[in-house]
Amino acid sequence: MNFKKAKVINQAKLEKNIQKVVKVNSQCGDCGDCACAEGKIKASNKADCDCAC
Amino acid sequence: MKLFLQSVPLKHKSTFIDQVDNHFLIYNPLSQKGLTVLNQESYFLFSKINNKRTLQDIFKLAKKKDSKINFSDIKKIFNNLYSSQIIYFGKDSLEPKLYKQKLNTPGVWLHLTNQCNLRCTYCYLHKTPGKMSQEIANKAIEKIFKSAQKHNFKQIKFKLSGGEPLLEQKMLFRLVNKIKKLEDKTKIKTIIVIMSNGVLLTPTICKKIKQKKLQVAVSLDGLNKVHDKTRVFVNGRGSFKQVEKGIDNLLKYKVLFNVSVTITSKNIKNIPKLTKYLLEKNIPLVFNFYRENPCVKEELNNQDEKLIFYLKKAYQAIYKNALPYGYIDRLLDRVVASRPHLRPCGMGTNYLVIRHDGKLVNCQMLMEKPIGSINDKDLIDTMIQKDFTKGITVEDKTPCKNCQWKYICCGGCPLLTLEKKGNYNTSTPNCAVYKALIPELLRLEAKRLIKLHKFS
Repeated sequence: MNFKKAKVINQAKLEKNIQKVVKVNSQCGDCGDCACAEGKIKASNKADCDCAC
Repeated sequence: MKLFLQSVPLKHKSTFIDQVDNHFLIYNPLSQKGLTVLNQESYFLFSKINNKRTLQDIFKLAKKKDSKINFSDIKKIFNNLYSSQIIYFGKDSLEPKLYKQKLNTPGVWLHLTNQCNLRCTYCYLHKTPGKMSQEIANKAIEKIFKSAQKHNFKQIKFKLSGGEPLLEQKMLFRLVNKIKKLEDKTKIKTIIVIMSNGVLLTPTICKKIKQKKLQVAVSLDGLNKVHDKTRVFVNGRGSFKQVEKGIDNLLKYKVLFNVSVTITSKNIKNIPKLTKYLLEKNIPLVFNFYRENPCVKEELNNQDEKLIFYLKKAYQAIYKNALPYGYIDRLLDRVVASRPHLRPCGMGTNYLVIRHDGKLVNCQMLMEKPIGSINDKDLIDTMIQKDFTKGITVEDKTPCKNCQWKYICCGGCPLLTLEKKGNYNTSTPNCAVYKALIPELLRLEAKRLIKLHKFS
């Protein structure tokens, strides 16, 4: 085993990085019909999502 | 985080672990950072945590596998595990964070009209000729901005709904202009979403929606005849063809939108096909379960097995076509897995419905139970003080007490529970479905992260 290769992929961290380069249509889905602002990826990181519900 | 040889890493007892594509999915339902995926090396270290071993103990075990490893490597990896909130140290428990959430965007549902050109079989609304006057609309918006300023909110989300709000296009766009003016004046940002049945989304309207930077949520319950079973015009004719055209127009004019799917006994079997159809068009989708309401008794009783079976099939389709945006909060009704929370919805905390006549209600499913009006001094105060569920949280629901998923399901929709079980202070009637599908949802998200990671 080579622990230099150890990887920790975290949802919030990864999306923060991706958000800088990708713009997609995305909703948080909490209320079932909402849409997050400006199409940036926020959907899976509710801590940062401003969704009303 | 400063780590030492004697530091003892801890795992939460509800941590969910599973394997996905040679990786390990780790999900702590108390983490504010969503789920985490580990490869073989990082999982080896994580798996050695038994809430007793020190980092030194784990370092020794790792050394047997890789003689070149040093303690700074261990510290780096454990710091990553810590910042992903899948482990914690000593008194630094994750639990208190759950109670410190601050909701910063009130959601305001503006019910523009009671009229609709469709007669969907499960609709919760009594159709009447009633519609919101310009005077009521203006006052409602002014009062909301005033209240948001007082409560120091930086953003408001408006949902323009009905009935079908696009039946009142002139009023709707006047309202949007008014909102934009107040946004400029108060510096409170807004998000405006039109909740539409999709049949009036002509090229002209879509162009205007795009120009005004509005968003749209369109209802689509199935393909062709399946959609037409429930979503029919007043004369009984199905609406699928028109909705499909409307969706194509939204795509053509690059409007930001999603498709909201209501799952009833009539469309369960078609959900996997519908999912594939939407994936092919790259359209974000949301799954909601039909909720019983006083207007109609559509059936979704005793359908748990079917729901689980067909939703799993739909998830499999998504699994194969992993898209760049998250699914974890929108493919299982009221389940929001990306962060722990105590209440299943914004009722009484940040969600308010303004009826066409200016009366306020807690939720669109409670249209006949006003809690105040736009003449009240502070609309957000009314919303908080007159909460239908009187502030209960999942902690008050005895059957949920020891559930691994309680902070992501929160006992489901309280109104559905009240309707089916006689009180809302207990677990949701969808409990078995949620429990069966939450792990599937997590696997789906893990797959997406692995795919995204390769591109990042």
